Amino acid sequence: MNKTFYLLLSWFLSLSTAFGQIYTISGMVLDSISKQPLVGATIILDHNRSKGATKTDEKGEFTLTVDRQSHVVAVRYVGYVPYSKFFPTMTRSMKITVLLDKTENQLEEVVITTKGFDQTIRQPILGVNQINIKTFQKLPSAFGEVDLLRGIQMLPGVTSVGEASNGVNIRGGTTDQNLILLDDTPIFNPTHMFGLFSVFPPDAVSTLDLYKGNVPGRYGGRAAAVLDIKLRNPALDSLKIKGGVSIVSNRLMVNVPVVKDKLGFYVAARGAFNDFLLPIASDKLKDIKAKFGEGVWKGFWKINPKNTLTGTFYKSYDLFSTNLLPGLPNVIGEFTRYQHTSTNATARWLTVLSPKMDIQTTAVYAHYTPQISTQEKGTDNFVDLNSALTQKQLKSNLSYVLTKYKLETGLSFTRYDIQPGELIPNKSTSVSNIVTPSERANEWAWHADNEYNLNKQLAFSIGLRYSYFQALGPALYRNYEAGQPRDDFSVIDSVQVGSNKAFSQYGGFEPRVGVRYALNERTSFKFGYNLMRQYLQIVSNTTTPIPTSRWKTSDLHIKPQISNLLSAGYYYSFDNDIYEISVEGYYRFTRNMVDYKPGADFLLQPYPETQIVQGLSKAYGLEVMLTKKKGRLNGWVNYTYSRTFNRTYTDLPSIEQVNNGYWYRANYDRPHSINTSFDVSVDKHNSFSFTFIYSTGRPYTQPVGFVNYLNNFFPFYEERNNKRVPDYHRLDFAWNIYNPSMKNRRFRGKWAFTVYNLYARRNVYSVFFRTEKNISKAKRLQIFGAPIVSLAYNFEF
Amino acid sequence: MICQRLLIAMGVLCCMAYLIGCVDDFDADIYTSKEYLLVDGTLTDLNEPQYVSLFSTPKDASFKSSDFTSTIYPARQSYFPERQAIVKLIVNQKEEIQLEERLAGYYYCPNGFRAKVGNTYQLRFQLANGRAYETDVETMYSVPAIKNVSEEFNLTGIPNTAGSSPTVSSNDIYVDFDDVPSQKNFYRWRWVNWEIQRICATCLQGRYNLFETEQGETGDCFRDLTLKANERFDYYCGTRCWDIFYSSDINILSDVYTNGKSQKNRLAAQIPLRQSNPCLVSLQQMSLSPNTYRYLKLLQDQSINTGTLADTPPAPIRGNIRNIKDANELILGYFSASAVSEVRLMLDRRNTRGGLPNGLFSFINNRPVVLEDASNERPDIPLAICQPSFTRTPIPPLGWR
Repeated sequence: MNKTFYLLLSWFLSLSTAFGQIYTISGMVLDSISKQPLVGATIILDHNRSKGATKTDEKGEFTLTVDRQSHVVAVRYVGYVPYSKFFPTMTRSMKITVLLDKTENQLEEVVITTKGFDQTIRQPILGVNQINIKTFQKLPSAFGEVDLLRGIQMLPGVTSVGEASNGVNIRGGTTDQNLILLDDTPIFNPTHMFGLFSVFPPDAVSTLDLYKGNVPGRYGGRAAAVLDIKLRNPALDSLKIKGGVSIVSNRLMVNVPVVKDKLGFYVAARGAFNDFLLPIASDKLKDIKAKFGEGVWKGFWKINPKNTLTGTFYKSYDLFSTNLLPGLPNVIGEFTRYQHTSTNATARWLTVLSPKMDIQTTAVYAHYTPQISTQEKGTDNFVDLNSALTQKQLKSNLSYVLTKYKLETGLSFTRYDIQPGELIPNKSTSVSNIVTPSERANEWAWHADNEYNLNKQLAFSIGLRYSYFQALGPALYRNYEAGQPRDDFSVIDSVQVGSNKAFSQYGGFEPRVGVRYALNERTSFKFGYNLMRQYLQIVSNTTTPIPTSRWKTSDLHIKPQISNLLSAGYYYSFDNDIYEISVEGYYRFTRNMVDYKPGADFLLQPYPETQIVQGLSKAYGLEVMLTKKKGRLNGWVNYTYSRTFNRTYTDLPSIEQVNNGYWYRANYDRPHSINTSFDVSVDKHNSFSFTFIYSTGRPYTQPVGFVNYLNNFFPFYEERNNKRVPDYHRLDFAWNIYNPSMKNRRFRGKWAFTVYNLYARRNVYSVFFRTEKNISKAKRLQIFGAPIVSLAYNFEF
Repeated sequence: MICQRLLIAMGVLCCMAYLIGCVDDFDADIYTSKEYLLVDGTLTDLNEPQYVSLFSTPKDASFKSSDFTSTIYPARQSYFPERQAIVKLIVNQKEEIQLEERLAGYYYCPNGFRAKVGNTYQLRFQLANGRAYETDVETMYSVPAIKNVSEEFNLTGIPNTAGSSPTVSSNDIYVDFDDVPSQKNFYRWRWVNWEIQRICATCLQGRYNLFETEQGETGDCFRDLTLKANERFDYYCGTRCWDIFYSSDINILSDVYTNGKSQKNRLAAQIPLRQSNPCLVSLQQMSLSPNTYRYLKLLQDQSINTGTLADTPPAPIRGNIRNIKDANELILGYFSASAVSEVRLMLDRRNTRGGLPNGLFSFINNRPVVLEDASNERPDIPLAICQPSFTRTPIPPLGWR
């Protein structure tokens, strides 16, 4: 009887365990480096506080009660990268140890489009997107190449002048007003092949933080936005190999743990060297060579629980040679070669003083060298035009994190060295060796970012940066007659400045303020104000800068660009945080924007100020975005209304004014744009992605008439950017097949079948008028006028 | 494997295609509501008449370019000559020379006038409607002499605007010269080509007749309604006659990268092979002032661009002429002074292939010559007068052999 009773009892008890929802998920939350327990970390069940939430105790421990269904446990702690783990159908209680990585002094990981739940609502800064590389990998891409720059154009407020543009325009800024950082090193040329591919090694990239509204004080030097691209840290536990093949390039990444949990590194490289096939395709292409590639090495050394050392080395290379594009002007030749190389390196030392305080010191080196070479007619000699830009930076940051308050403060010193151009004749007897005077400058900066949560409703992010810029000698600068066009004829005198002597200084405070007011846990309003100063810019006479465009530091005549941005936003999440709506508006006003005089030529120009005019730029816009963050179908749709206008200063002589001194549309002024991106996961192995883009055509300058002159027929122009090319729209599709063998092996493959421009829209890239032999024709240039079908294979083990 | 290669080739091709450009015609409809003043004048030290021209473009002009009519054609004949303007040339900012209107809109310097290296020139003029203009003061710079000329036949040739063939072979002429080390030099090359023309008149639904006037013998077409409306007759020239062709490309160079160096093989002229007859070419190497160079460079940039983002976007090209009262008026054209080093060379064209003997008329008109047959009514078909103009002369050009 007793035996039967106990049997029954135990059966009943097991039954009640099965149906009575009494499993637990418990664990411990530790700092990944110091292994110190993290007290007060938030644990949330299924991204929904109402389903279960707790905090870690003094030992860093927590326990959650769950039912037998599948669950997601998310762990968050200020100053650390959020963590989440999926538990399939529960059959027993689980115990986990969570090691949280420091966010390396970011003011919290900011998540909008990938994994956040209430971040958008809660954080006191606005206009920030964090995108995981996995999001980019799912997006349909041209030629199967994962492309960050194309990917971020799916976000509101990010546009470009077209398919082959060497950068993006963010909230009315020019491409060089974006600070693009790859593991803290600046990227001066973000694309390969004149804009076709981006230069970031897709296997090594971990996340991209895009700051287009509030920019924390630790960033400086550019007027519009920040794209902070972080490379993943080397895995310290096991050897990992990743790679892939697409129709354009081959990729390989090898991660080697040298000393387990202590020292490791990886090497990731991508190369595109398939141009030998071009002559097979068409005889016309036989004289074209096109190669590009990039490689990155990153090492991580955990010296002890309190100190780590990280090193990154990055190199990117492009070669394009053709007889179809114009070469160096004023050199008699036919065949031209374009090459550019970026060499970047960082070393970062992180020392943890306490679980709440650390210091991070970083040394940065970036060297960019574009080159144009023209082969002299009838010889094998190349005349080279070399230029170089070097940036060296040393910075140190202290970070202090409390539950309600965060402080980050730091100092930075940046040195710029620019060789604007040297013409090297090599064996040529008809070309001179010409050296354009080099430029040197220092930029000093101090910053402090404070984030303070006053109460549940109100939170502030108050940042302040002070930057100070010095243009240094040796230099020969000119003084010009006031009120006259700056040219060779209005020079009053020239002044020689000695080595390392500052001859021009600028500086000032850069306030960065964000305020959040939360109506409730689902709704918040935010307001932001930003001031940013830019001392290094591209001076170019082309529609958008090209890889060989000239970089120029501010000096006596070229004033730093100063941008003021006001933004406000409304955020609302609903249906258990599955959906989120955000509405953001902004107004930007920039002083000293740089434009070029008609006929400007910057090549080997010792006095670029004679080719430049400065003025005002204003931009405003409204961005509405609906995101579905969870579920088999997830993605977003957004609409942006945005305008950008420029005006040259009215006190300039009338001959120097663009558009007679009236406001004119910027080259990238595209009022309406709609971006949609959706991913449907059919099962564990298949997902389908669609993206659709619509935007108003970009402006171009149409002639007001044609004239017979010099035995030829020329268009003539009055108003700049007076017409628009036809509207742009495009649908892309991707079918991602994960682990097609469907076996749970270490080796995992992935196929990506993509169709870019599915319905073969012949989008117009540019409209122009060409005169040849007495006739003029209106022409349009189209890129990707047909669907581009591609297949890429990636593997990992 | 083959499939993968094909894919690779396709991918690379697509990349390349975009750089080369997938360019086609665009439907543009441009309406010009205003009239614009067009000034054209280059003074030289050549032994030839020196003049400037003043014209106005028509108001309400419409230019269309579409898939069907992709070409915007010139309409120079519809320009209005600015007659009875008062035009003065100021030399070295003191000496004033009155220019004389000899042809409608063309104002000539006095006979024998030559511009001189080192002098400055400025044009001031007042139109009949009272609007007054002036140009910048232009200095005439010296130009190094052409040292050597070489010529080669280019079978592929250059784009052809006349006739059905898209290209025409050419005689390419290269020059060598020594740049002057002590100064900034800006160069322009232009050429004049004299071709023998055998047909001097064409009558549509008419016949050519000679008659006497006070100025001497002349000739013209007389309507003949017995002929069909589209019937044409061509008439041989009565004397030797040359058609004159001028270069239309802007061919310029700055010595900014080549100062003081010997320059070799600069392409200075491409003479289309319009016929296989020998022809005369005047090759002119001209000096430019820095501002003239800038102006022409801008004009060149805007007319040969390729539509890629490496292009300089178009902008109003302001020349050196301004309305004294209205700084914003856009005036087309430029006034300049250039020293010229000229080489005249006869091309025997023995190195050419594909040109037709005496083929100039057919080449230009894209049809064979149709002569009027002698008949009982007209037993003697008259020979046409070689009517002198900017594009034709009966006087053997200097250097013709």
